[in-house]
Amino acid sequence: MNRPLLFLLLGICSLCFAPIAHATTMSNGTLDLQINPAGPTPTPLPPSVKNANIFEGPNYTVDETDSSTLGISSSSDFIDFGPLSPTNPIVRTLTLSVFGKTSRGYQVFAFEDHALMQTGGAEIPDTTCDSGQCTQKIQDTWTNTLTFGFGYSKTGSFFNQFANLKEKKLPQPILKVTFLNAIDQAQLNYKINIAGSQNLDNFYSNTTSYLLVPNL
Amino acid sequence: MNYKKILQSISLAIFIPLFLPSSAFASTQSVTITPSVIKIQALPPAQVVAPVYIENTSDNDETFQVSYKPFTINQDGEAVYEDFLKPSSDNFLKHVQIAENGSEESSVQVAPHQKKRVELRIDIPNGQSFSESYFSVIFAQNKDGTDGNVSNIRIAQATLVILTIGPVETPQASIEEFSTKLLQEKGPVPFLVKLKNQGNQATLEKGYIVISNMFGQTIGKVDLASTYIPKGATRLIPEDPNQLSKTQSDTVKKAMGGTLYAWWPEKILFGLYRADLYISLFPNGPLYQRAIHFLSFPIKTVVIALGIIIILFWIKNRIGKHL
Repeated sequence: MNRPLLFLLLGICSLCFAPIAHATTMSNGTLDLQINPAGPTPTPLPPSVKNANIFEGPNYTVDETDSSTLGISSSSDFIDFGPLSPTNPIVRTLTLSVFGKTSRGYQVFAFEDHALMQTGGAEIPDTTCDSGQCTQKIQDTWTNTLTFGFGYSKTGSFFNQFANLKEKKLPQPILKVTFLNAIDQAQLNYKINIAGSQNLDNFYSNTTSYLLVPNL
Repeated sequence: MNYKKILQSISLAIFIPLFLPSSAFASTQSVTITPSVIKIQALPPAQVVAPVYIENTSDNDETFQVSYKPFTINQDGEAVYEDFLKPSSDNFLKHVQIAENGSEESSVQVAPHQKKRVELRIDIPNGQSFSESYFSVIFAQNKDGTDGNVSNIRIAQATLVILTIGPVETPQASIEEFSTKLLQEKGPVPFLVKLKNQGNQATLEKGYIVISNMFGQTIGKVDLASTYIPKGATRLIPEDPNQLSKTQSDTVKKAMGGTLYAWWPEKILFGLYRADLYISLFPNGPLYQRAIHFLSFPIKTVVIALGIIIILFWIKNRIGKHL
């Protein structure tokens, strides 16, 4: 009868001592951990190891000790819609990657220089979605083949306009991320759908930009 | 013969991946700008010079157009561009330039896989009033458009600059919150560290959390990220990015919905723990401390262990009766 109790006690004891075993593998750095934990008494720290990125000149100091590293890449230089055909929506995918390391996060802003435009000036307007309500800030569904325009989607079903700089629209953050440890990837669907009345004498083009901004 | 074929197959399986491209993601344009944040303290007059590195991580030559945009900071430390459309000549940014080999440049050419050093230069004239301002230096890819029905893609990256003109002031900040759940079933443990800036300028220069078990033994340490706290703002302080692990990152994104925590990655926990937060607003101290306690009890693990023991005991009794 006593054996099960003995096993139980042994099991609990082994769990109890498990965290202590991990102390041998911890990374302790160079800081003195024997600081008096008694109260708010200031204690001097050893010299900072980050000083290699602090530069001093006459009347100024530059601090570049921030340890975040960030980069951005895209899977393509351009999105090619090919020949356009009225009421025949075309969807193309772009993969956007943000790589590096940050614990404070980052934003990616998106904007376009202008709507898709011919050399002659004819435009494919930015979509307002099926509801007529979507903007660069408000997303909405766009499934009706009689809804015309140009827009993008992060989800595949809800679309936005790109912030149009020519129309004085401010770039909008399309990605807000609080952590990055290696790589984040986002798939963006570009969609275009034109009406029968759309001038097809020439090509339509614009430039869409993605601006990576670290958080402070 | 069969062994030979098997050996050949195994060899191919091992060696073929070695000759495949090692890149984790396909990209045609790619850039890294460092550092992400530059903090400058200056007294007029000053000719500030700060190095900036542009790395073209693609296989093509790239030209990056340089522009300067002022921004403000929200409570989450995110840059907000209210004046993005205003030309930079309208404000103090006319004193800012990027220079390469000593001369001002509006664009920078970078060869494939080259990391180029340029200089951020700021001319602060005598008599310039004391101020704190934020602006970003944006390097935007600049290339000719493609013919066809196309949307040309351009990537860009910003370096954030915090420019303080005036004497160095003593930072004043307080620990608004240092907490975690009182009862943790298992790790990793998220600590909420909230600092409030009560002065004009403050940066958490050094901070860490030391975790001790119920026997007083130090069993873990979490370094905190150096974090800028705008005037009057309260910021959540995460762990240093060098302490991030993929597991923690995924945990944060999936479970915590974007709140910044400082994570202690220990997974197996049992008993009473003490966590001591140490922070300093100066690179070399002084250091201030606050302590909290939390309990950890792996309820599920204990219930499963007890269940197994009871079942084993029951089986043993049944076998004993039959014998």
